[in-house]
Amino acid sequence: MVNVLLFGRLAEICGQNNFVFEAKDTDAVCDKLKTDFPEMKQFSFALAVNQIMITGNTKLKEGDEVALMPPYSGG
Amino acid sequence: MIEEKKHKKVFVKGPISPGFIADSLAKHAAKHNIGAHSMFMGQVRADVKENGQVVTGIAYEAYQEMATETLHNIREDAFAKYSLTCMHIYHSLGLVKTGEISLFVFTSSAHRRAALEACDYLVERIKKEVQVWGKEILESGETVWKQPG
Repeated sequence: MVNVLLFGRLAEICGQNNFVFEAKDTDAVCDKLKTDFPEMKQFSFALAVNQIMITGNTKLKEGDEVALMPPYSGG
Repeated sequence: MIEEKKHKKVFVKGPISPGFIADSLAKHAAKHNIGAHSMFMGQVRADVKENGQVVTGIAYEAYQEMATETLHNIREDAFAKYSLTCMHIYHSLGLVKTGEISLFVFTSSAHRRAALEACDYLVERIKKEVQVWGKEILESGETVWKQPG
């Protein structure tokens, strides 16, 4: 199982900010969320695995933390 | 506040008060190697949205663990790049109303140029790179996700 964290608008779309489910890689995480919450497809986001930014599909192992982050808007 | 602590506390609940900012300045009076301070304060603005609704506040959330690490790296870069005596960064979480302060960046150095340039550098990097999101609250209670800017 992996721990999926959602932030900003993405958490709002999914109705919660945290999911735990089985996924072999980050593409599988995104595919599942986009299937369950089609509105997710409209928005771009960055991905981090265990708090490290990733680009491209990344393999996941038990207990990994995957964060889906829309563009930052602090300050 | 321990100056050399690895990860400094950045996030504060609610707005950053003018009193807190004044106190931060006052704490530096004993540091006689400082010749210049520079401060940036980000204040929540009453933007008028397309539907005519006015922003009454911004609710901030962060991916705190990652944001803290990002800020640590930004701080390290700024210390390497500029000759600074002190650097303090505070960002609000939760609701900050229009007219209140949500970001406070404070740099100090022996001479003005380092403090001024480092402050600008920090603000730009914080806005671009730190895992924080703001949701604007409108008069009607509607919410709009703040655009990066």
